[in-house]
Formats: sequence, structure tokens, C-alpha cells
Amino acid sequence: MAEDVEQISERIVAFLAAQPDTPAPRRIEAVQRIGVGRSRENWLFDAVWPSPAGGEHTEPLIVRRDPPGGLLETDRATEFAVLEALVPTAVPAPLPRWLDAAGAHLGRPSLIMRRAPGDCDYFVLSGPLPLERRSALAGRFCDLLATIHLVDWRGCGLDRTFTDPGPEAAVRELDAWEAVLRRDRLEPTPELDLAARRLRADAPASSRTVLVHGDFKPGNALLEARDGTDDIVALLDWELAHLGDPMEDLGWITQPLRTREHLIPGVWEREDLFARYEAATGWEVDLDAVRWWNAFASFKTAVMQTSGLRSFVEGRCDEPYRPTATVLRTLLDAVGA
Amino acid sequence: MHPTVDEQLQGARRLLDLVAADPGLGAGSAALLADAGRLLRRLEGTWAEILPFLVADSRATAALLVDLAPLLDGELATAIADAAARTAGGSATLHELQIAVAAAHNDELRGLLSDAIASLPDDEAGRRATAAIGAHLRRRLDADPTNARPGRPARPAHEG
Repeated sequence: MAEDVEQISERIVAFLAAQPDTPAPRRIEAVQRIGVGRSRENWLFDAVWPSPAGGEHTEPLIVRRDPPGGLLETDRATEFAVLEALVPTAVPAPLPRWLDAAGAHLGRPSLIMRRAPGDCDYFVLSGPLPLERRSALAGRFCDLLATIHLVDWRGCGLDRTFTDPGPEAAVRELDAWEAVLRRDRLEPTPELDLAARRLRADAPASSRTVLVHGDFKPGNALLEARDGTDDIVALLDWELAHLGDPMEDLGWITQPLRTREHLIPGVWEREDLFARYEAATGWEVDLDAVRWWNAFASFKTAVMQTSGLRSFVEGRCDEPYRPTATVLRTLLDAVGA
Repeated sequence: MHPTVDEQLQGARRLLDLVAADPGLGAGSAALLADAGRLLRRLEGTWAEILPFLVADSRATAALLVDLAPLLDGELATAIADAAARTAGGSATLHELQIAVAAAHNDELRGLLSDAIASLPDDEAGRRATAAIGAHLRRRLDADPTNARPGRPARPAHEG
């Protein structure tokens, strides 16, 4: 049974009171669970602190806590380290505040971040906004991806969190997701084994190493309209971030399963995205590599669904996930099987 | 033999729908009911077709494996011959028509297919074999009755 507001509130108060570098809040308010962010359990709350000049001030915060199970098993300490590293950069990521890496206070591994304003809309680029605004926003998403890839990851210390895979980024990612598949599958998956064989045979060499977001999409962004312009206030969900090939994120956002989220037919096609990305980064887009990463994106999606199926069958999540025929057909198409 | 399986599934879904119509229901409970309803709808439309699908797919998978066996090492080829010999032919026995038995045998054959994929030579014969496997797996996806999707709202791709 899910934890209720009272229980999580008590945990949060006790956790904040235990922080050595922070005075205890006078109280927390407006605690509520939100559904956005399907892979983690997200709790919103406001912390009310005493102000030095008297009175009090409120800080909007969010707890991002591991669920008992789901599509992904990732490490909150790693995500916290990424957010910390991004603080001095131009990337609009949430400000990390506290980490409960083992879940000693909050029940399960969790991090607390400053809550940013704005709304989340998976399908904003295909939604009811006027075409000019959607087109401009699509360009801004592309620019944001370029900004992430241009982060000086050594300079901000991410080489202490992640290993640089070098030219073998594709093979390393395939290794990692095949390991998840072997760990989580409940039954033989020849569709995925055939795809993995094809992917391994054709894995491209990476031309450079960048910070890869791993799940870049409008559904992981907070948007705010200001004077008729749609600003990307924050990019969320850094749990899949790693060092790797910049073509990986391009392959993720141009995969056939996600065109409705990232492209606008006739206005913002793959070619437009690639041209703007090349202009923003100064790097050439390797179309063959992007095609490989498109296929890998379907593989990764199917593996996540496999993990979700195990979580459901074991009673650790409530959504009946399974590798869907749509994803498996797309994968077989993409690897030419 | 009433209530039939379909009648029982429909009845369970009708009861869940009555609960879902309660205006006082919380969002979390509504989401859980929606997932339960989705599972029941999937079962309603497919349960009767699962056993014939498994039997037919096991036959097709066994035939494919027998074709692949000359490309594989002796131990795997022997395991394939053994599993293929236990695959129901034109008339299945009562034992083989138990769904748990059929599912376990189908899993065994699909596991052998995974082993075969890992063991195929990286030459022209191996490439022809992987093409045949790809075609077989596509046919299976098309035939699998559990892939029929009851009506549900559009979702981001990774959620299926």
C-alpha cells in the first residue's frame, strides 16, 4: 500500500531536521504526491524556514523517491551528483538540496530538489499551441540538447561520477542494457536477443564523449509561457544520464516511436533538427550512427518494459507493463530483421 | 457451464466499473482500477486463443529450430532434436493441452531459439538463418492474441 501524506510528511520533517548544514524548518506544508515522472515517486511540499531578518520564507521542494519497482532501477546518488555538477553550467536542471542515498530517513533512496515553476507536456510540439510557437519551442529543445552536449564534463567533475567509454560508447551501452535484460526477464526473449546480435555487429564508434541525458523529451521538461515565448524552465529526470556518444540522444529523440513527441510534420523534421544541432554544436551529425542509436532506443525501451513486467508480476508496481508488439516490431524493423 | 470464463471476466469488470463511477474515488484508486480493468479486458478478448496460439507457435518454432540445427554445435543440436521430438504434432494429447504445459514447452523452445541466435556463425549461412528467425518472430508477433490492444489512451512510447 502506498505511503500516505502524513507518513511521508513525518519522514521529511525528521530528515530535514537531521541535516547538519541546515536549520530545521518551522514546518512543511502542501504535501502531495504527483503522477508526473512515472519512474520515480514524486512528492511536492513547501518548507517554511525562519528568515534571518525575522519572519519566515518558503522554499518549494520536491522529493524524488525510488518506487518499490517499475521500468527502471537507477541510483539516486548518481543522479544527485549529476545535478550538483550541473549547477554552475548553463543547463537548466533542478537545484539539488539533499540526498538520502540509502533511504535511511525517507524509506527508500531519495533526493530532494528545489521545485521549479512551469508545466510538463509530453506532446506540446503536437498540441494546440500555434504552429509558430511550437516550431520555436522545437528549436529551443534542440538548442538545449546542444547545451547539454557542450557541457565541460571534466571541468564540472562528472569524470568522478562516470567512466568515459571513449569510442566504444555504443558497445558499452549495449552491454549495460543487455545486463538489465538478463537480470529482469522472466522468460526467453529471442526478439531482443536477435536485435542485440544485430546491434553488436554494427555498433558505431563514437567520435567524441559528451554528457548524454538518456531520456531527453518534452515530457521531462518544465515549460513556462512568458510574453508569448515558451521557455524551458527546467530539464528533469537525469537518472539515465551518463558519458557517451552525442548521437545517442539524437537517436533517442528521432526514434520512430517518439516522432509525435519531438517532430512537427512538414515543419520540424529530422533534417531540420540535425541542421540546427550541427549549427549549435559545430559537429557533424553521423546519420549512420543515428540510425544505429534509433534501433538501440527501441531495444532500450523493450528492456525497460521487460523490467516493468517483472516489477508488476512481483507486485512491486501497479502498472501492467510488458514488451509491446509495437515496440518489438519497430525494433525488428530497425535492425533489419 | 455458466458462468462461463467470459461471463465471469465481464462480471468482474462490470463490478470494477461500478466502483470506478464513484465520484468520491481518489485519483490513485481510479488509476489502479483502470489498470485492473485493462488487464481484464485483455483477458476477455484473448484467453480462449492463448492455448491454440502456444501449440501452433511451438510447432513453428520447433520446425525452425530443426532447420537451424545443422549450423549449431552438437550439444545444442541434440537439445533441439529432443525438444522438437516432444512437440505436439497434428493431434495434441490431453497433457499437452494443459496451458501451463504448453506455455512451459513454448518457453523451452524459445529459449533454445535464443541459444541458437547466440551460436549462429557469422557468415552467409548465419545471415540467412537470422533472416529466417526474424521472419518467424514477426509472424509470432502478428499471431499472438495477447498483443491485441483494448482501447486505451495514447501514451508515451516507453509505457507501451
